[in-house]
Amino acid sequence: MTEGSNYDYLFKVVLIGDSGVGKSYVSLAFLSRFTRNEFNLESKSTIGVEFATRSINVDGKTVKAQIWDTAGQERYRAITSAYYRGAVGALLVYDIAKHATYVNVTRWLKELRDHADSNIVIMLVGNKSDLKHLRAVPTDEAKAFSTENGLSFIETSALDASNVEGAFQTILTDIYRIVSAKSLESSSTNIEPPTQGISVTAPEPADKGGKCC
Amino acid sequence: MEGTPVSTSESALTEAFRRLFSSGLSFTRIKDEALNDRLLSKAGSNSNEAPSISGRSIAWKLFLAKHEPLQSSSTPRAASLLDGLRKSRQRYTRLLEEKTKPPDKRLAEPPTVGKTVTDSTRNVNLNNPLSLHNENPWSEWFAGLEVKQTISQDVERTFPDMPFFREAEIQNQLTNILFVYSATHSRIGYRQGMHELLAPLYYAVNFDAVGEHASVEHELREICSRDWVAADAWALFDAVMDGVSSWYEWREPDPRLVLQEQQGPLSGHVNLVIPDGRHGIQAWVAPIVKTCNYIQNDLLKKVDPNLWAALQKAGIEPQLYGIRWLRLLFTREFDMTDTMKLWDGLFACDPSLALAQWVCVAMLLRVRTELINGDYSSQLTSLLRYPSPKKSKLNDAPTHTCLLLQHALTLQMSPNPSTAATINMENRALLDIDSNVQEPPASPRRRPQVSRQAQSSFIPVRDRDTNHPGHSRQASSPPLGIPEMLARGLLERGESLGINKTLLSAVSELKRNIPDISAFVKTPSQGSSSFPLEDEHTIPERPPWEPKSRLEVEREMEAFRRRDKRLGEALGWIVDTLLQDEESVKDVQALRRRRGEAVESLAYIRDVLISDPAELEEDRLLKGNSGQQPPEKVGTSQAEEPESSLQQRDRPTVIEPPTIAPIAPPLPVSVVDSGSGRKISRPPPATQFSPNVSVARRPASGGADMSQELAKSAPWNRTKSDFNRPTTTVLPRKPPPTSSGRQDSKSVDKSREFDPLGAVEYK
Repeated sequence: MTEGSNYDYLFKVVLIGDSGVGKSYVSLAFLSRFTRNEFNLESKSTIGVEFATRSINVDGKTVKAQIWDTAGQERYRAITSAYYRGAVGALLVYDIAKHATYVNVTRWLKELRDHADSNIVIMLVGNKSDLKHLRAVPTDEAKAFSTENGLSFIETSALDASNVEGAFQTILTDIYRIVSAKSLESSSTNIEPPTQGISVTAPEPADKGGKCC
Repeated sequence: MEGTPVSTSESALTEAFRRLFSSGLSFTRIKDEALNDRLLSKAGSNSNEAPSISGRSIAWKLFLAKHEPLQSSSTPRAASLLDGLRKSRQRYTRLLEEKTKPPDKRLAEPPTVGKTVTDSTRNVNLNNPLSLHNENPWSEWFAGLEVKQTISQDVERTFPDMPFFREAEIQNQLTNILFVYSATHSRIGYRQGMHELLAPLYYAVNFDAVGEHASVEHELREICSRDWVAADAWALFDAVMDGVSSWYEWREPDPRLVLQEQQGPLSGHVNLVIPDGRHGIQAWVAPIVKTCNYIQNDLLKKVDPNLWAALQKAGIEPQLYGIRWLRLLFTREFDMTDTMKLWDGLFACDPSLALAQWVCVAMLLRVRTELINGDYSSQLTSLLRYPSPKKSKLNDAPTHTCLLLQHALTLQMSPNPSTAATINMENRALLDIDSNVQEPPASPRRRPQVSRQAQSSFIPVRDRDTNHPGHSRQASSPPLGIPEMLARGLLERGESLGINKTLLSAVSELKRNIPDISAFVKTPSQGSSSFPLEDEHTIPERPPWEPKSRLEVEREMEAFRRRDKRLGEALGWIVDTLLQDEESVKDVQALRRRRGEAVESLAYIRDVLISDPAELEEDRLLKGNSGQQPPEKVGTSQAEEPESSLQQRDRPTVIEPPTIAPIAPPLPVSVVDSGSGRKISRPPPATQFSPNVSVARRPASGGADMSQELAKSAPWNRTKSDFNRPTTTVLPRKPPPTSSGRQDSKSVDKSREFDPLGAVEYK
């Protein structure tokens, strides 16, 4: 788990979802590896883009995740293309205590279809699972919706950091599997990095992927 | 507002109020003080900690006042500020009533004669909460509730670490203000970020607020009335948004509005069509994106092509960082205290906040090293988590926000690579910012530089071709000398800052400082090799327009040096006058009068040093000196006269060329001569100079027999004296173009007049 430039793969993962669902918390909880109640309850609203990286280990490979977090209020037309460019994963976050944020998930999916790579790996994240008494979105419903739309699904609580690590671990592993499968495919005909499908932001992973078999 | 955690010191507030309105400071002076972070700290509380500085809101109200255009020469009047405030307070009250009361409450107004029964407010079919009619005022009301909810979601998250913003009452007021703004600006409405722009404004107004029974002047009590905190904060916010709102625009303006606003239906579209590679043709690009692109791809490219290239290569899109920087006016990049200081300067400079774009450029320059050396991730990290500045190494150094403002202003005035290089050095010197840009490109740079030299800077191509010994010498030395001069000018400026402060402190210290002043007037002849700027100046990508810009900076430095010399000379007679013993003089009255004049001149020198005006007023500088002139010279009203007499008195043994200068030929002649090599056809009018002076001053026109002379004098010496000669002639009436960088065409013309090295021949 080294930071810096020693990594095998570099994946860009974006966080999307309505304003106030806790995207920044999820990102923060992952990036700073908080365990429980370690961070301030109040956080500022995100303006524009936040950006950070963290490396994790997947199947013995070092995967560096670039986490992009953006404001939820508007689909920032100004930064849309920059935001989604090269993204291989998306965490679509909603608030389990606010049904409206769940309803808007379809709008965010449309946004992804419009602007992101068609092979982007999407994970639906029901955040604030600590607010059990206020739950407005049943877990089963969200799970069924995810299966229907080919998304993976998880419920997290950024507050006590439960499942946050798991969420990122899952999506990064999924991406890794797809990417290495792609490299396997392409390696039979071509040692060059895959140029279509899931796009990998750094050249290194593809090279290694090509050689590893 | 009960229970606010801040306590207002009434005396500090009064002091700030008096400083603004009754100390006779002109607007220009007030702005300058604000820019240099001196306006309030003097008057305000003893601590520079926290944003606890009294009187800031008054200054902001003054800077942002919409009703009274700022007359730079006049002094502000509290009464007119108050007039404006009264109006805006009424307006806010009315808007608050109109926009936040539900429609049934608004029905209370009596029916007016002439209104028809179908008036929507009276028609129950339209006006009831359940009506589905389009004109139902209730639908607007319900939509407003949603906006309000969005707003309060952000207001609750405003500066979470400040207890002040956790209070329900404050949050309520902030929400109201933002709601009124969004209701009155329906095209933009409320956008995230506005809350954080409003919060410091509200904080400042509230901090200064006084109650009805406060023991302060009547006008001050009304300006800072506690009853009107929200209204005043709204007025400030509204004014700030005039400059910022376009950066919040997020949707294409309604075509109908465009129709109304512009001459034709197509003009708006035709101009704005910008093809986007991915989405085909987009009819509309958000202004924030345009601004960000302009900052990175025009402004930054112009001043620091290398940094621009690094960002470009990595594919950093300017809106990624620009959006937050501009929309919040840097509240996330700096802490509250620094932000407010920065805002002081931004508001003072220009209520339309045009300077903000240059602040962005200055901020990019500050993280230049990280940006050039880093990869994409670390570049983004530097930009999106802007590093908090280190404490300045020097005690007297300006605060980093102050420095940032100065840099932004300098860049705005002369946007060219030399300015950027100077700023980088200042950053390194004052903020201890590492400026080690990766080495690899440096060594290959050197070689092309030699061949490039001819086109790149100071040596006319044809001069090199002629292979004249004098010219080849000139060809090799100035490129080394100029950067050093530049940088030295900078150091001197820093030095002069320190000296200035001492000067201000006590007259008795004057004597001690005069050697320093003369020392830095002479510095061009001192050590040169220690100069580390070469890398900045041997950039291979040097664009063809750089020679001019470099000259501009050079000229600016020269003007500084010249001015400092004048000030030093003036200080000379002031000190002499002040030191004169009363007993040794017969006419004590005359001496006292002269002393009075000396003190006045001294005050003027102080003003010059503080406010840095474009031109010196000679008569104010040498006020009392005319009295010391020999009687037969009193009659002459030539502007040069006081100066020459002064120099003769101070240094009788040295014959200063400037004294002869008035009859010297105009410089353009000599430029043409040296450039074209026709020096013999027009020999320098050496009869007007002593021989050695003319040699030192006109190197380009000398033959091989002068090479010894030249070898002794460093290039900057020659440069300096060439500058000196014509400009002393010109100075009293025509100030040098120190800040004309913006008007390119004009500055080119002027550079022909002032260009001693013939570099403009290139153009």
